[in-house]
Amino acid sequence: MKCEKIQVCAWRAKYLISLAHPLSGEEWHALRATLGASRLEFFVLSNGAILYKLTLSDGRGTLTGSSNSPDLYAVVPRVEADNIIKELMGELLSVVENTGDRTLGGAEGNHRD
Amino acid sequence: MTLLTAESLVEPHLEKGSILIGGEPHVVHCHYYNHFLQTSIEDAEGIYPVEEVLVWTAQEVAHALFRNIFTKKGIHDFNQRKSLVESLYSSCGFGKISLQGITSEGGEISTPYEHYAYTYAATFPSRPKGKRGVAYFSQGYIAGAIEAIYDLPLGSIGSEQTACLTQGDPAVRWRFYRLSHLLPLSPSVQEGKAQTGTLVQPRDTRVPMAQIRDAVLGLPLNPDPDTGLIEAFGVVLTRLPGNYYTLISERHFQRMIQVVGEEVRQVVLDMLIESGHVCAFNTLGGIMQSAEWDAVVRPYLDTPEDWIYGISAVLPAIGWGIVECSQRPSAQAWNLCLRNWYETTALAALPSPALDHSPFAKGLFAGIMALVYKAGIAEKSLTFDGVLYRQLFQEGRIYETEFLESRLQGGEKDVLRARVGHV
Repeated sequence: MKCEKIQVCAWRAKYLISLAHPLSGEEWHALRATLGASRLEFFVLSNGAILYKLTLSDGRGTLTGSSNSPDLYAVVPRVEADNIIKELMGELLSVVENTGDRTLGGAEGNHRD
Repeated sequence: MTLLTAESLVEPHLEKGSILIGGEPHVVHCHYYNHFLQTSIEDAEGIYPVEEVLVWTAQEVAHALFRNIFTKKGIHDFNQRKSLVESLYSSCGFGKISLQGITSEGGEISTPYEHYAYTYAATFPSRPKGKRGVAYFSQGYIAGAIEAIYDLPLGSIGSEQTACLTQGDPAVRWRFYRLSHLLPLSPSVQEGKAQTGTLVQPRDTRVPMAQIRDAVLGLPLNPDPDTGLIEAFGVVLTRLPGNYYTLISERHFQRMIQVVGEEVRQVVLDMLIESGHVCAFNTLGGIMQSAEWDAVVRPYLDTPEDWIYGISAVLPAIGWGIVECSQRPSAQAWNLCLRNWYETTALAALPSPALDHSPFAKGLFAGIMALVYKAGIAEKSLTFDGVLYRQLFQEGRIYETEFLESRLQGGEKDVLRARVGHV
Protein backbone atom coordinates (compact mmCIF):
# COMPACT_ATOMS: atom_id res chain seq x y z
CA MET A 1 0.00 0.00 0.00
CA LYS A 2 1.45 3.35 -1.07
CA CYS A 3 0.34 6.83 -0.14
CA GLU A 4 1.48 10.11 -1.68
CA LYS A 5 0.35 13.70 -1.46
CA ILE A 6 -0.89 14.89 -4.85
CA GLN A 7 -2.48 18.25 -4.14
CA VAL A 8 -2.02 20.76 -1.39
CA CYS A 9 -3.29 24.25 -0.60
CA ALA A 10 -3.69 26.25 2.60
CA TRP A 11 -7.00 24.52 3.28
CA ARG A 12 -6.76 20.90 2.26
CA ALA A 13 -4.53 18.14 1.00
CA LYS A 14 -5.34 15.37 -1.45
CA TYR A 15 -3.65 11.98 -1.23
CA LEU A 16 -3.36 9.12 -3.68
CA ILE A 17 -3.49 5.75 -1.94
CA SER A 18 -2.51 2.86 -4.19
CA LEU A 19 -3.65 -0.62 -3.29
CA ALA A 20 -2.89 -3.93 -4.93
CA HIS A 21 -6.50 -4.34 -6.09
CA PRO A 22 -9.67 -2.26 -6.22
CA LEU A 23 -11.59 -2.28 -2.94
CA SER A 24 -14.69 -4.44 -3.13
CA GLY A 25 -18.12 -3.24 -2.09
CA GLU A 26 -17.82 -5.38 1.02
CA GLU A 27 -14.57 -3.70 1.92
CA TRP A 28 -16.04 -0.22 1.43
CA HIS A 29 -18.83 -1.13 3.84
CA ALA A 30 -16.32 -2.54 6.31
CA LEU A 31 -14.27 0.63 6.06
CA ARG A 32 -17.31 2.73 6.75
CA ALA A 33 -18.06 0.71 9.86
CA THR A 34 -14.54 0.88 11.24
CA LEU A 35 -14.24 4.62 10.62
CA GLY A 36 -17.38 5.34 12.64
CA ALA A 37 -20.14 7.75 11.73
CA SER A 38 -19.54 8.41 8.08
CA ARG A 39 -21.62 8.27 4.90
CA LEU A 40 -20.97 5.81 2.08
CA GLU A 41 -22.43 6.54 -1.34
CA PHE A 42 -22.00 4.51 -4.48
CA PHE A 43 -22.98 5.25 -8.04
CA VAL A 44 -23.16 2.93 -11.01
CA LEU A 45 -21.82 4.82 -14.03
CA SER A 46 -22.96 4.39 -17.60
CA ASN A 47 -19.81 2.40 -18.44
CA GLY A 48 -20.63 -0.11 -15.70
CA ALA A 49 -18.00 1.08 -13.23
CA ILE A 50 -19.05 1.72 -9.64
CA LEU A 51 -17.90 4.93 -8.00
CA TYR A 52 -17.59 4.95 -4.21
CA LYS A 53 -17.49 8.00 -1.96
CA LEU A 54 -16.96 7.74 1.77
CA THR A 55 -17.55 10.94 3.74
CA LEU A 56 -15.73 11.01 7.05
CA SER A 57 -17.50 12.41 10.08
CA ASP A 58 -16.99 15.90 11.52
CA GLY A 59 -15.78 17.44 8.25
CA ARG A 60 -12.65 15.28 8.22
CA GLY A 61 -12.78 14.77 4.49
CA THR A 62 -13.66 12.21 1.85
CA LEU A 63 -12.28 9.01 0.37
CA THR A 64 -13.22 8.09 -3.19
CA GLY A 65 -12.44 5.13 -5.40
CA SER A 66 -13.88 3.04 -8.18
CA SER A 67 -14.47 -0.60 -8.95
CA ASN A 68 -11.99 -0.56 -11.82
CA SER A 69 -8.98 1.02 -10.15
CA PRO A 70 -6.79 0.12 -7.17
CA ASP A 71 -6.23 3.83 -6.53
CA LEU A 72 -8.11 5.73 -3.83
CA TYR A 73 -8.18 9.49 -3.29
CA ALA A 74 -8.44 11.08 0.14
CA VAL A 75 -9.15 14.79 0.53
CA VAL A 76 -8.64 15.97 4.10
CA PRO A 77 -8.15 19.24 6.02
CA ARG A 78 -4.48 20.14 5.82
CA VAL A 79 -3.98 20.88 9.51
CA GLU A 80 -5.24 17.44 10.50
CA ALA A 81 -3.92 15.60 7.46
CA ASP A 82 -1.19 13.56 9.11
CA ASN A 83 -3.46 12.12 11.79
CA ILE A 84 -6.38 11.43 9.48
CA ILE A 85 -4.24 9.75 6.82
CA LYS A 86 -2.48 7.65 9.45
CA GLU A 87 -5.83 6.48 10.80
CA LEU A 88 -7.17 5.88 7.30
CA MET A 89 -4.18 3.82 6.26
CA GLY A 90 -4.40 1.74 9.40
CA GLU A 91 -8.08 0.99 8.85
CA LEU A 92 -7.54 0.26 5.16
CA LEU A 93 -4.81 -2.22 5.99
CA SER A 94 -7.01 -3.88 8.56
CA VAL A 95 -9.99 -4.10 6.20
CA VAL A 96 -7.96 -5.52 3.32
CA GLU A 97 -6.32 -8.12 5.57
CA ASN A 98 -9.61 -9.14 7.17
CA THR A 99 -11.43 -9.72 3.90
CA GLY A 100 -8.96 -12.41 2.83
CA ASP A 101 -7.92 -13.29 -0.68
CA ARG A 102 -8.52 -10.14 -2.72
CA THR A 103 -8.45 -11.99 -5.99
CA LEU A 104 -11.84 -13.46 -5.06
CA GLY A 105 -13.52 -10.05 -5.08
CA GLY A 106 -16.12 -8.66 -2.71
CA ALA A 107 -19.82 -8.93 -2.06
CA GLU A 108 -20.84 -6.51 -4.80
CA GLY A 109 -18.30 -7.96 -7.19
CA ASN A 110 -15.61 -5.86 -8.72
CA HIS A 111 -15.00 -8.11 -11.66
CA ARG A 112 -15.50 -6.46 -14.99
CA ASP A 113 -14.29 -9.42 -17.01
CA MET B 1 -43.75 22.55 -2.13
CA THR B 2 -42.79 22.71 -5.77
CA LEU B 3 -43.38 19.62 -7.86
CA LEU B 4 -40.29 20.33 -9.93
CA THR B 5 -36.85 19.27 -8.80
CA ALA B 6 -33.80 21.34 -9.63
CA GLU B 7 -32.22 18.30 -11.28
CA SER B 8 -35.13 18.02 -13.70
CA LEU B 9 -34.30 21.47 -15.05
CA VAL B 10 -30.83 20.43 -16.21
CA GLU B 11 -30.84 19.88 -19.99
CA PRO B 12 -27.66 18.54 -21.61
CA HIS B 13 -27.42 19.35 -25.32
CA LEU B 14 -24.96 16.88 -26.80
CA GLU B 15 -24.96 18.53 -30.22
CA LYS B 16 -23.81 21.79 -28.66
CA GLY B 17 -21.64 20.49 -25.84
CA SER B 18 -23.71 22.62 -23.51
CA ILE B 19 -25.89 22.24 -20.44
CA LEU B 20 -28.89 24.52 -20.19
CA ILE B 21 -30.85 25.44 -17.09
CA GLY B 22 -33.70 27.86 -17.67
CA GLY B 23 -32.29 28.63 -21.11
CA GLU B 24 -28.94 29.69 -19.62
CA PRO B 25 -25.80 27.68 -20.45
CA HIS B 26 -24.20 26.41 -17.24
CA VAL B 27 -20.56 25.36 -16.90
CA VAL B 28 -18.62 23.54 -14.22
CA HIS B 29 -15.65 25.29 -12.61
CA CYS B 30 -13.80 24.95 -9.33
CA HIS B 31 -13.28 27.33 -6.42
CA TYR B 32 -9.67 28.08 -7.38
CA TYR B 33 -10.75 29.38 -10.77
CA ASN B 34 -13.70 31.24 -9.29
CA HIS B 35 -11.50 33.04 -6.79
CA PHE B 36 -8.73 33.78 -9.24
CA LEU B 37 -11.08 35.44 -11.71
CA GLN B 38 -13.10 37.30 -9.08
CA THR B 39 -10.09 38.50 -7.11
CA SER B 40 -8.34 39.67 -10.28
CA ILE B 41 -11.36 41.78 -11.14
CA GLU B 42 -11.84 42.92 -7.56
CA ASP B 43 -8.27 44.23 -7.55
CA ALA B 44 -9.55 47.02 -9.81
CA GLU B 45 -11.93 48.35 -7.16
CA GLY B 46 -9.97 51.59 -6.90
CA ILE B 47 -10.28 52.07 -10.66
CA TYR B 48 -13.99 51.52 -11.24
CA PRO B 49 -16.95 50.21 -9.15
CA VAL B 50 -16.39 46.46 -9.56
CA GLU B 51 -19.75 45.57 -7.99
CA GLU B 52 -21.36 46.86 -11.17
CA VAL B 53 -19.61 44.02 -12.98
CA LEU B 54 -19.54 41.25 -10.38
CA VAL B 55 -23.02 41.75 -8.89
CA TRP B 56 -25.05 43.20 -11.71
CA THR B 57 -23.99 40.56 -14.23
CA ALA B 58 -25.21 37.79 -11.91
CA GLN B 59 -28.47 39.69 -11.45
CA GLU B 60 -29.06 39.83 -15.20
CA VAL B 61 -28.41 36.13 -15.66
CA ALA B 62 -30.52 34.99 -12.70
CA HIS B 63 -33.42 37.22 -13.68
CA ALA B 64 -33.49 35.68 -17.17
CA LEU B 65 -33.11 32.07 -16.10
CA PHE B 66 -35.76 32.15 -13.37
CA ARG B 67 -38.19 34.13 -15.46
CA ASN B 68 -37.78 31.49 -18.17
CA ILE B 69 -38.31 28.63 -15.75
CA PHE B 70 -41.37 30.17 -14.08
CA THR B 71 -42.95 31.00 -17.43
CA LYS B 72 -42.22 27.73 -19.20
CA LYS B 73 -43.16 25.56 -16.24
CA GLY B 74 -46.21 27.63 -15.36
CA ILE B 75 -45.13 28.31 -11.78
CA HIS B 76 -47.10 31.26 -10.42
CA ASP B 77 -47.15 30.68 -6.66
CA PHE B 78 -44.51 32.81 -4.88
CA ASN B 79 -43.69 30.09 -2.35
CA GLN B 80 -43.21 27.51 -5.09
CA ARG B 81 -40.96 29.92 -6.92
CA LYS B 82 -38.91 30.55 -3.78
CA SER B 83 -38.60 26.85 -3.14
CA LEU B 84 -37.32 26.26 -6.65
CA VAL B 85 -34.75 29.06 -6.35
CA GLU B 86 -33.49 27.61 -3.05
CA SER B 87 -33.29 24.17 -4.56
CA LEU B 88 -31.46 25.25 -7.72
CA TYR B 89 -29.09 27.39 -5.68
CA SER B 90 -27.95 24.31 -3.75
CA SER B 91 -28.11 21.98 -6.73
CA CYS B 92 -25.59 24.19 -8.55
CA GLY B 93 -23.25 24.14 -5.55
CA PHE B 94 -23.72 27.78 -4.53
CA GLY B 95 -24.56 26.87 -0.92
CA LYS B 96 -27.78 27.00 1.09
CA ILE B 97 -30.24 29.85 1.37
CA SER B 98 -33.77 30.42 2.61
CA LEU B 99 -35.98 33.00 0.93
CA GLN B 100 -38.79 32.71 3.46
CA GLY B 101 -38.18 36.20 4.88
CA ILE B 102 -38.15 37.83 1.46
CA THR B 103 -41.05 39.88 0.09
CA SER B 104 -41.49 41.93 -3.06
CA GLU B 105 -39.91 44.79 -1.12
CA GLY B 106 -36.79 42.74 -0.37
CA GLY B 107 -35.49 41.56 3.00
CA GLU B 108 -32.43 39.93 4.51
CA ILE B 109 -30.83 36.54 3.88
CA SER B 110 -28.15 34.96 5.99
CA THR B 111 -26.27 31.69 5.50
CA PRO B 112 -23.12 30.00 6.80
CA TYR B 113 -22.75 28.21 3.46
CA GLU B 114 -22.00 30.23 0.34
CA HIS B 115 -19.48 28.91 -2.20
CA TYR B 116 -17.25 31.94 -2.61
CA ALA B 117 -17.22 32.97 1.05
CA TYR B 118 -16.87 29.47 2.47
CA THR B 119 -13.99 28.42 0.23
CA TYR B 120 -12.26 31.79 0.51
CA ALA B 121 -12.42 31.75 4.31
CA ALA B 122 -11.01 28.24 4.35
CA THR B 123 -8.18 28.98 1.94
CA PHE B 124 -7.03 32.57 2.29
CA PRO B 125 -6.19 34.92 5.20
CA SER B 126 -9.06 36.98 6.65
CA ARG B 127 -10.01 40.17 4.89
CA PRO B 128 -10.01 43.46 6.81
CA LYS B 129 -13.37 44.57 8.21
CA GLY B 130 -13.49 47.66 6.04
CA LYS B 131 -13.40 45.60 2.84
CA ARG B 132 -16.65 44.18 1.54
CA GLY B 133 -17.40 40.45 1.51
CA VAL B 134 -16.64 38.11 -1.37
CA ALA B 135 -20.16 36.82 -2.12
CA TYR B 136 -20.73 39.07 -5.14
CA PHE B 137 -22.16 36.37 -7.37
CA SER B 138 -24.78 35.18 -4.89
CA GLN B 139 -25.75 38.75 -4.10
CA GLY B 140 -26.61 39.45 -7.71
CA TYR B 141 -28.04 36.00 -8.36
CA ILE B 142 -30.47 36.29 -5.45
CA ALA B 143 -31.42 39.86 -6.40
CA GLY B 144 -32.26 38.68 -9.93
CA ALA B 145 -34.17 35.72 -8.54
CA ILE B 146 -36.25 37.98 -6.27
CA GLU B 147 -37.16 40.13 -9.26
CA ALA B 148 -38.23 37.04 -11.19
CA ILE B 149 -40.19 35.61 -8.24
CA TYR B 150 -42.27 38.78 -7.92
CA ASP B 151 -42.46 39.53 -11.67
CA LEU B 152 -40.48 42.72 -11.18
CA PRO B 153 -38.53 44.31 -14.01
CA LEU B 154 -34.82 43.64 -14.28
CA GLY B 155 -32.87 46.10 -12.17
CA SER B 156 -35.60 46.90 -9.66
CA ILE B 157 -33.90 45.26 -6.66
CA GLY B 158 -30.82 46.76 -5.04
CA SER B 159 -28.55 44.78 -2.76
CA GLU B 160 -25.59 44.87 -0.44
CA GLN B 161 -23.54 42.32 1.43
CA THR B 162 -23.48 43.16 5.13
CA ALA B 163 -21.49 40.28 6.65
CA CYS B 164 -19.02 37.69 5.41
CA LEU B 165 -17.24 34.57 6.62
CA THR B 166 -14.04 36.06 5.24
CA GLN B 167 -14.11 38.74 7.91
CA GLY B 168 -14.76 36.48 10.85
CA ASP B 169 -18.55 36.75 10.77
CA PRO B 170 -20.41 33.49 11.46
CA ALA B 171 -22.46 33.83 8.27
CA VAL B 172 -22.78 35.63 4.99
CA ARG B 173 -25.59 38.19 5.05
CA TRP B 174 -27.13 40.31 2.33
CA ARG B 175 -29.80 43.00 2.32
CA PHE B 176 -32.17 43.39 -0.64
CA TYR B 177 -34.44 46.38 -1.25
CA ARG B 178 -36.72 47.88 -3.88
CA LEU B 179 -35.25 50.73 -5.88
CA SER B 180 -37.16 53.77 -7.06
CA HIS B 181 -35.19 53.77 -10.33
CA LEU B 182 -34.08 50.74 -12.31
CA LEU B 183 -30.42 49.79 -12.36
CA PRO B 184 -28.92 50.06 -15.87
CA LEU B 185 -28.85 46.31 -16.51
CA SER B 186 -29.03 44.43 -19.82
CA PRO B 187 -31.03 41.29 -20.49
CA SER B 188 -28.92 38.13 -20.56
CA VAL B 189 -27.66 36.89 -23.92
CA GLN B 190 -28.89 33.43 -22.84
CA GLU B 191 -27.73 30.85 -25.41
CA GLY B 192 -25.88 33.53 -27.34
CA LYS B 193 -24.91 32.63 -30.89
CA ALA B 194 -25.06 28.92 -30.19
CA GLN B 195 -23.74 26.53 -32.80
CA THR B 196 -23.73 22.77 -33.14
CA GLY B 197 -20.93 20.34 -33.73
CA THR B 198 -19.91 16.73 -33.50
CA LEU B 199 -17.63 15.09 -30.99
CA VAL B 200 -15.25 13.53 -33.49
CA GLN B 201 -13.74 10.13 -32.75
CA PRO B 202 -10.04 10.25 -33.71
CA ARG B 203 -8.86 7.12 -35.52
CA ASP B 204 -5.51 6.92 -33.80
CA THR B 205 -6.77 6.20 -30.29
CA ARG B 206 -8.98 3.74 -28.48
CA VAL B 207 -10.24 6.53 -26.18
CA PRO B 208 -14.03 6.37 -26.74
CA MET B 209 -14.87 10.06 -26.91
CA ALA B 210 -18.67 9.87 -26.87
CA GLN B 211 -18.73 7.13 -24.24
CA ILE B 212 -16.56 9.24 -21.93
CA ARG B 213 -18.66 12.34 -22.49
CA ASP B 214 -21.82 10.41 -21.68
CA ALA B 215 -20.33 8.79 -18.58
CA VAL B 216 -19.12 12.15 -17.27
CA LEU B 217 -22.58 13.61 -17.88
CA GLY B 218 -23.87 10.91 -15.56
CA LEU B 219 -21.36 11.58 -12.78
CA PRO B 220 -22.98 12.47 -9.48
CA LEU B 221 -21.99 16.11 -8.98
CA ASN B 222 -24.33 16.32 -6.03
CA PRO B 223 -24.14 18.97 -3.34
CA ASP B 224 -23.59 18.00 0.27
CA PRO B 225 -27.09 18.00 1.78
CA ASP B 226 -25.92 19.98 4.80
CA THR B 227 -23.92 22.67 3.01
CA GLY B 228 -25.13 22.86 -0.59
CA LEU B 229 -21.48 22.72 -1.70
CA ILE B 230 -20.23 20.23 -4.33
CA GLU B 231 -17.06 18.40 -3.38
CA ALA B 232 -15.49 16.43 -6.23
CA PHE B 233 -12.05 15.83 -7.74
CA GLY B 234 -10.44 17.33 -4.63
CA VAL B 235 -11.93 20.76 -5.30
CA VAL B 236 -15.22 22.51 -4.61
CA LEU B 237 -17.23 22.80 -7.80
CA THR B 238 -19.98 25.08 -9.03
CA ARG B 239 -22.30 24.72 -11.98
CA LEU B 240 -22.49 28.41 -12.72
CA PRO B 241 -24.05 30.26 -15.67
CA GLY B 242 -21.31 30.50 -18.29
CA ASN B 243 -22.51 33.93 -19.34
CA TYR B 244 -21.53 35.20 -15.90
CA TYR B 245 -17.87 34.29 -16.39
CA THR B 246 -17.83 35.58 -19.94
CA LEU B 247 -19.54 38.86 -19.25
CA ILE B 248 -17.57 39.74 -16.12
CA SER B 249 -14.39 39.11 -18.14
CA GLU B 250 -15.59 41.19 -21.09
CA ARG B 251 -16.97 44.01 -18.95
CA HIS B 252 -13.86 44.18 -16.81
CA PHE B 253 -11.76 44.36 -19.98
CA GLN B 254 -13.95 47.16 -21.36
CA ARG B 255 -14.00 49.15 -18.13
CA MET B 256 -10.26 48.93 -17.64
CA ILE B 257 -9.57 50.18 -21.16
CA GLN B 258 -12.15 52.97 -20.78
CA VAL B 259 -10.71 54.20 -17.49
CA VAL B 260 -7.00 53.44 -17.75
CA GLY B 261 -6.46 53.43 -21.50
CA GLU B 262 -5.12 51.13 -24.19
CA GLU B 263 -1.92 50.47 -22.28
CA VAL B 264 -3.82 48.19 -19.90
CA ARG B 265 -5.17 45.94 -22.67
CA GLN B 266 -2.40 43.34 -22.57
CA VAL B 267 -2.29 43.34 -18.78
CA VAL B 268 -5.97 42.36 -18.57
CA LEU B 269 -5.64 39.85 -21.40
CA ASP B 270 -2.71 38.24 -19.60
CA MET B 271 -4.84 37.96 -16.46
CA LEU B 272 -7.65 36.27 -18.40
CA ILE B 273 -5.16 33.87 -20.02
CA GLU B 274 -3.80 33.17 -16.55
CA SER B 275 -7.32 32.26 -15.43
CA GLY B 276 -7.17 29.51 -18.06
CA HIS B 277 -3.92 28.23 -16.58
CA VAL B 278 -5.45 28.25 -13.11
CA CYS B 279 -8.41 26.29 -14.43
CA ALA B 280 -6.30 23.73 -16.30
CA PHE B 281 -4.13 23.25 -13.24
CA ASN B 282 -6.82 22.97 -10.59
CA THR B 283 -10.06 21.88 -12.25
CA LEU B 284 -8.67 19.71 -15.04
CA GLY B 285 -5.64 18.59 -13.07
CA GLY B 286 -7.98 17.60 -10.25
CA ILE B 287 -10.15 15.68 -12.69
CA MET B 288 -7.16 13.85 -14.21
CA GLN B 289 -6.11 12.59 -10.79
CA SER B 290 -9.43 11.43 -9.42
CA ALA B 291 -11.51 8.33 -8.85
CA GLU B 292 -13.96 9.59 -11.45
CA TRP B 293 -11.19 9.77 -14.09
CA ASP B 294 -9.96 6.33 -13.10
CA ALA B 295 -13.48 4.95 -13.44
CA VAL B 296 -14.34 6.52 -16.77
CA VAL B 297 -11.23 7.49 -18.74
CA ARG B 298 -8.09 5.86 -17.34
CA PRO B 299 -8.76 2.36 -18.72
CA TYR B 300 -8.33 3.71 -22.26
CA LEU B 301 -5.14 5.72 -21.83
CA ASP B 302 -2.07 4.28 -23.53
CA THR B 303 -0.12 7.38 -24.56
CA PRO B 304 0.22 11.03 -23.47
CA GLU B 305 -1.90 11.97 -26.49
CA ASP B 306 -4.69 9.79 -25.11
CA TRP B 307 -4.77 12.01 -22.02
CA ILE B 308 -5.41 14.98 -24.31
CA TYR B 309 -8.18 13.12 -26.10
CA GLY B 310 -9.63 12.00 -22.78
CA ILE B 311 -9.82 15.46 -21.24
CA SER B 312 -11.18 16.83 -24.55
CA ALA B 313 -14.06 14.36 -24.27
CA VAL B 314 -14.80 15.57 -20.74
CA LEU B 315 -15.22 19.25 -21.67
CA PRO B 316 -18.60 19.03 -23.48
CA ALA B 317 -19.94 17.13 -20.48
CA ILE B 318 -19.19 20.07 -18.22
CA GLY B 319 -20.81 22.49 -20.63
CA TRP B 320 -17.80 24.17 -22.19
CA GLY B 321 -18.47 23.28 -25.84
CA ILE B 322 -17.11 20.72 -28.29
CA VAL B 323 -13.38 20.20 -28.76
CA GLU B 324 -12.25 18.62 -31.99
CA CYS B 325 -8.63 17.57 -32.33
CA SER B 326 -7.77 18.44 -35.93
CA GLN B 327 -4.69 16.23 -35.95
CA ARG B 328 -2.87 14.03 -33.49
CA PRO B 329 -1.34 16.20 -30.74
CA SER B 330 2.36 16.03 -29.98
CA ALA B 331 4.63 17.58 -27.38
CA GLN B 332 5.36 20.28 -29.96
CA ALA B 333 1.87 21.30 -30.99
CA TRP B 334 -1.82 20.59 -30.63
CA ASN B 335 -4.17 21.87 -33.34
CA LEU B 336 -7.76 21.98 -32.29
CA CYS B 337 -11.10 23.37 -33.29
CA LEU B 338 -13.80 24.57 -30.89
CA ARG B 339 -17.51 24.50 -31.62
CA ASN B 340 -19.88 26.43 -29.38
CA TRP B 341 -17.11 27.32 -26.94
CA TYR B 342 -19.12 28.95 -24.17
CA GLU B 343 -17.07 32.11 -23.91
CA THR B 344 -17.09 32.73 -27.66
CA THR B 345 -20.77 31.94 -28.04
CA ALA B 346 -21.75 34.53 -25.44
CA LEU B 347 -19.37 37.19 -26.77
CA ALA B 348 -20.60 36.64 -30.33
CA ALA B 349 -24.08 37.68 -29.23
CA LEU B 350 -22.91 41.09 -28.00
CA PRO B 351 -23.20 44.06 -30.38
CA SER B 352 -19.50 44.98 -30.20
CA PRO B 353 -17.42 42.87 -27.84
CA ALA B 354 -14.04 44.24 -26.85
CA LEU B 355 -12.56 40.74 -26.75
CA ASP B 356 -11.91 39.34 -30.23
CA HIS B 357 -11.11 35.82 -29.06
CA SER B 358 -11.45 33.70 -25.94
CA PRO B 359 -8.47 34.44 -23.68
CA PHE B 360 -9.66 31.76 -21.26
CA ALA B 361 -9.26 29.16 -24.04
CA LYS B 362 -5.74 30.40 -24.76
CA GLY B 363 -4.69 29.74 -21.20
CA LEU B 364 -6.63 26.53 -20.83
CA PHE B 365 -5.27 24.59 -23.80
CA ALA B 366 -1.69 25.70 -23.17
CA GLY B 367 -2.31 24.54 -19.62
CA ILE B 368 -3.42 21.09 -20.74
CA MET B 369 -0.28 20.77 -22.88
CA ALA B 370 1.86 21.74 -19.89
CA LEU B 371 0.18 19.15 -17.67
CA VAL B 372 0.61 16.37 -20.20
CA TYR B 373 3.96 17.10 -21.82
CA LYS B 374 5.91 19.21 -19.37
CA ALA B 375 4.69 17.85 -16.04
CA GLY B 376 4.22 14.33 -17.42
CA ILE B 377 0.89 13.52 -15.81
CA ALA B 378 0.60 10.46 -18.06
CA GLU B 379 3.77 8.94 -16.62
CA LYS B 380 3.56 9.78 -12.93
CA SER B 381 1.25 11.21 -10.34
CA LEU B 382 1.80 14.93 -9.81
CA THR B 383 1.70 17.01 -6.66
CA PHE B 384 -0.41 20.05 -7.42
CA ASP B 385 1.06 22.87 -5.35
CA GLY B 386 2.63 26.28 -5.80
CA VAL B 387 5.96 24.78 -6.85
CA LEU B 388 4.43 22.85 -9.74
CA TYR B 389 2.32 25.85 -10.79
CA ARG B 390 5.43 28.03 -11.05
CA GLN B 391 7.23 25.33 -13.01
CA LEU B 392 4.40 25.09 -15.51
CA PHE B 393 3.01 28.60 -15.81
CA GLN B 394 5.44 31.15 -14.50
CA GLU B 395 9.23 30.97 -14.84
CA GLY B 396 8.98 27.49 -16.32
CA ARG B 397 6.21 28.23 -18.82
CA ILE B 398 6.87 26.86 -22.30
CA TYR B 399 3.44 26.51 -23.93
CA GLU B 400 1.25 29.19 -25.42
CA THR B 401 -1.86 29.15 -27.59
CA GLU B 402 -2.62 31.18 -30.68
CA PHE B 403 -5.94 31.63 -32.43
CA LEU B 404 -5.71 30.79 -36.12
CA GLU B 405 -9.38 31.59 -36.63
CA SER B 406 -11.88 33.21 -34.28
CA ARG B 407 -15.65 33.41 -34.50
CA LEU B 408 -15.31 36.88 -33.03
CA GLN B 409 -13.29 37.95 -36.06
CA GLY B 410 -15.66 36.50 -38.62
CA GLY B 411 -14.58 32.88 -38.54
CA GLU B 412 -17.03 29.99 -38.70
CA LYS B 413 -15.36 28.31 -35.74
CA ASP B 414 -12.52 28.83 -33.29
CA VAL B 415 -9.30 27.24 -34.51
CA LEU B 416 -6.37 27.17 -32.13
CA ARG B 417 -2.84 25.90 -31.95
CA ALA B 418 -1.29 25.26 -28.55
CA ARG B 419 2.44 24.88 -28.98
CA VAL B 420 5.88 25.33 -27.60
CA GLY B 421 6.35 29.05 -27.87
CA HIS B 422 8.55 31.96 -26.98
CA VAL B 423 6.78 32.97 -23.80
